[in-house]
Amino acid sequence: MRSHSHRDPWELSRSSVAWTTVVNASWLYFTQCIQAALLYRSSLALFVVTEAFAYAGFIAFWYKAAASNPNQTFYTPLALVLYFALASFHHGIQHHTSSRDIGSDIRLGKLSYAIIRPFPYLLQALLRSIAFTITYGVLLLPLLVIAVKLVPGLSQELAKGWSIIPWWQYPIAIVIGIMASCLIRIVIGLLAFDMSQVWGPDTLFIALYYSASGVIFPIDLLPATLLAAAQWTPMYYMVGFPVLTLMGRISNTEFNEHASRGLIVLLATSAIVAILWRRGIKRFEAIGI
Amino acid sequence: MMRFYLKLLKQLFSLSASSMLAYRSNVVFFFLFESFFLMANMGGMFLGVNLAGGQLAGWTLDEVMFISSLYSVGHQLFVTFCMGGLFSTGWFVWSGRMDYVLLKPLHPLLALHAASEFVISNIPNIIINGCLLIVFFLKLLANGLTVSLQQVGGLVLFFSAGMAVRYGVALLVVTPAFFAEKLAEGEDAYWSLQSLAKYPTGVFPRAMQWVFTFVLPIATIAAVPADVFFGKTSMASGATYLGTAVLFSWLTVKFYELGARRYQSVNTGA
Repeated sequence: MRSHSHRDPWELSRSSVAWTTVVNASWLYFTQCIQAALLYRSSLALFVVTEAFAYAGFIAFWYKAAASNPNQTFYTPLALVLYFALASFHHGIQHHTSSRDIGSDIRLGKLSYAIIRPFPYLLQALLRSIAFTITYGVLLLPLLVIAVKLVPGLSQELAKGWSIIPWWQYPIAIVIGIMASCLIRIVIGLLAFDMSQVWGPDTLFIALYYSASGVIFPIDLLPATLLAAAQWTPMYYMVGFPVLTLMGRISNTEFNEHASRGLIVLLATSAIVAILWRRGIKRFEAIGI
Repeated sequence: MMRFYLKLLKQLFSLSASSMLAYRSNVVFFFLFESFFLMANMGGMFLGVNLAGGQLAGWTLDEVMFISSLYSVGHQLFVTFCMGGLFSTGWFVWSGRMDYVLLKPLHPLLALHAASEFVISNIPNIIINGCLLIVFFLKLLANGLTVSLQQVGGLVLFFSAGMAVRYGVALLVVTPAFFAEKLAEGEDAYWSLQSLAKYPTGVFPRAMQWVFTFVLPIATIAAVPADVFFGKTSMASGATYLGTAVLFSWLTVKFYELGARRYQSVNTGA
């Protein structure tokens, strides 16, 4: 097997591979990932139908909660419906299993043939995740649009939020969210270099994700100290941050603060990726179990 | 015959224990996962009822938490004893491993469980959730709740029916794997649907209440047993819910049997 760079986990500094090769191979790989996902239409249909069903019930609970108390003004029932419609969309597009894929590549020894490809392994993993996000985005966006159009008052609620924020804030928030999702899952997958399986850390991550992302309750309902703690984890940026930004619930000053914190979290997560990759690839012996 | 099944069960326990405990870290991760998951769920319910002003659809905070912990106990029992087998269906069909499952001299579902494992590592979570249920029960008793033996019996009966419904919902979402080239999303679909069972039925609009009671009877998982326990439902309604739950579970087993008959052993897992 050829020598592998230990210094650069993304291997972008490797001089033996031309940039054009990396770009072409990445594009081809990316389109193949999308084709593979679309091949299994029944899986996608089951996912979309059951998620929509679950969210309808879920939204009903929160609507009832907000509507039952005329004295509270923090969330109107309609604002809560919008929150969960947007949260379900952001949850759906980041629901990929790259941590398990990376973990099984390492444990089964498949990494050995993945790393002799002419473009970096971790870039493959990243592209696979982004391909998933785009595929599910294309599938779920029409559902979100239908929900916003059909529920009376929801489009006005969305427009209200959108009119408050500068247009560039949401793209920044969603990019930070997608990158946070990809990087944390890569971290979990890379633990397979040191563990016999990553199933445990992966399920633990899911639980932490439910606790700190804002996918099962509006994240800004948390007490201030818990919310501040959540903002130092990648999970907050996966759902809560883009949704609150889009709804105009974060002021400009707060946005800058949250985005900076998000970038620090991304940098820290990238550093962990680099450390785990550098350590792991040195010990990797291409023997699968 | 009974001795044969008991021997099978004993063997399944023993193999699951030795296999699961080989990965001792699983116990720790399961414990951490379920603890955080429990906190997130309970936290969400607390925030929701708090937002509603401390009472939701005629249920107090403690009553809602009781429903939620009842739901959690059922969830942990399902994870420990049913999940391993049922959620292997998609993979088994796709990879062709269903061949040797169906060759066993057992009902296809029993054979499926016998070819899989119980999640022994999850047993501590059953205990934790059971304790939580007792805590909320004691809290309700301290606040003046009185329960008769009949209500306790009703709770046990309806909770068992709820477990059958859980199993039925899982069958409903994994069985389409027999009719598709590859369908591995059954597990996610199950988690999505059953997550609705932790709420009091009254929070849903009327049409959804009807669906969750008579079409996809997930209300029987936790809300109806709690209704019976708190004496909020009549015996006639209870009998209807029970009948629906039994019918639903029976139909889903038949659906699985139909799928198993449809299996043609030609998938490659490629």
